[in-house]
Amino acid sequence: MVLTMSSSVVLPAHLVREQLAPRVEYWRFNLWHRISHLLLMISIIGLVLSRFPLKFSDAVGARLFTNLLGGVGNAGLIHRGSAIVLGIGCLMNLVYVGYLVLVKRRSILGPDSIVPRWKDVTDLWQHLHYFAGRAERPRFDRFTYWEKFDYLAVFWGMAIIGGSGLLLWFPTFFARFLPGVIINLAYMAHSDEAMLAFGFLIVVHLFNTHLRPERFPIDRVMFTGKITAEEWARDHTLEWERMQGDPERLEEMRVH
Amino acid sequence: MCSHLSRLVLIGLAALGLLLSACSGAAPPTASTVQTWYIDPVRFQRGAHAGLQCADCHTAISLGEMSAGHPNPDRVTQDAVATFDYTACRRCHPQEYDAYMHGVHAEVASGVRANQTDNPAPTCGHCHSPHYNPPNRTRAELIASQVATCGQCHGKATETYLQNYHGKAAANLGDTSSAACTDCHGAHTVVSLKSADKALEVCQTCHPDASVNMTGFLIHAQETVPAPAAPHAGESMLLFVTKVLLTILVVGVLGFFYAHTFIWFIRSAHNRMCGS
Repeated sequence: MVLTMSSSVVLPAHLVREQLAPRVEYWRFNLWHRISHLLLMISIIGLVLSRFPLKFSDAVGARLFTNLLGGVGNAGLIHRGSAIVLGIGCLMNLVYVGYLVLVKRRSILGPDSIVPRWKDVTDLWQHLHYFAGRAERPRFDRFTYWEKFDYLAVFWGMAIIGGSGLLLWFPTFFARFLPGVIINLAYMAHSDEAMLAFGFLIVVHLFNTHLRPERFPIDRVMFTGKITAEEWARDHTLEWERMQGDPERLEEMRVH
Repeated sequence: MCSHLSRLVLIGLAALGLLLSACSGAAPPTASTVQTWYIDPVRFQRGAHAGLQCADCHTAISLGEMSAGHPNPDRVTQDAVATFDYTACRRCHPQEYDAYMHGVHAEVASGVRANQTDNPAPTCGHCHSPHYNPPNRTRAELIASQVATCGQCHGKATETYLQNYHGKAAANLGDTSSAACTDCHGAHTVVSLKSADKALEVCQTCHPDASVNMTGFLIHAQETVPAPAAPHAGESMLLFVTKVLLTILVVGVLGFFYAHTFIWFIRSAHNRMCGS
């Protein structure tokens, strides 16, 4: 009683109500999703940190940082170790997609799939108009267009950065059946695409998910897997509304 | 309004042009035109040749008495480094001397090869400072000095080497297991590695399972539009086109999403402040 009274003095009424009301939460991401995301996150940080001082080797502090990592050779070990972890994270996701399609017989073309649809193009268009104050905020489904881009960009990155990385890891093997200039191309593509990935993650991904004023300082959903009913209804309105027609499934997804 | 805008664009392009020419126009430094005859005894005593007497190398003179023809006022106007009689080096460094004599630098010096620039043909003294070179240098120090020394004449090769893994690791980050100039080209033979057989032999010292295709990997890759007759013109063009396409991709994707993020932030901040 004393607690409630004291907090009602400090907090505005709507926040007290929010705190007192039971938080209804639902599962948005399962353990498998969260682990693969965590593996991606940690490995990409490792990949960037271990090879950034090589890319900018003439920058102030590049040598010091390399020595802190135990030299160029050790940094390379960290880099390739992280690459294996990243590969495992991506493979986990492919296994999950395979499970959904082959075992659960789920279509990957439905509205709750991460596969892009025409609606993502119109959503982007409407979102841009919303930024300009000329339209309502689009009503998103399970995955927004930028979430789909984030997800698919990993495959793009794995194909180009991962492929060229393998080539740079085993140059003498690949040069047995490919022309040597392919190593030059791989070096260039690896470096440029990695800068693209890093530049994207550090600004766009970080802002879209965590830093924008509605979410600041962190959006926990990818780490806890749980989304509140309010967030779900606001950020993934179409999925939320569709779920209202299937109370059994909704109850299944509720966090108990 | 329109002319104002086009003027801005023109100024921007001009600034970009200036920036680019400033970045790419650095000519390789040629041998110094000012020569000094003064030898700093303090620095000399710290050098590798500290124990030697002047006449050990400068055999035309002998201490105590002036030999015939010394001092010779004509010598003062000549390029001392280029005209010194380097057979004196051979007495203590016979292997290095002979290797040099069989190498490309000696060919240039003897006129077998046409010297394509006005750089003097390299002799011992062009790469080594007999008076001041410090003794017992570590490999890391040697790598750093090679980049500086070779770069005096081979500016483009040094620049491209430093954009390559080998150069970044060895010269910039001090990785002594990575190859520097002389590891591939030899210290005194200074072989050109344009022939695949020679290059393969060199690659295999560190990459024992390298095949002949591996020699097609360009350590000194140019990513600019090549002159038609330039070596590896096809590969350079391929690298240039790839670089342009990759840059368009990177700038395009980041440009779009950064703009998207920026206006989203403006909208969110506006909503926050105006309470909508």
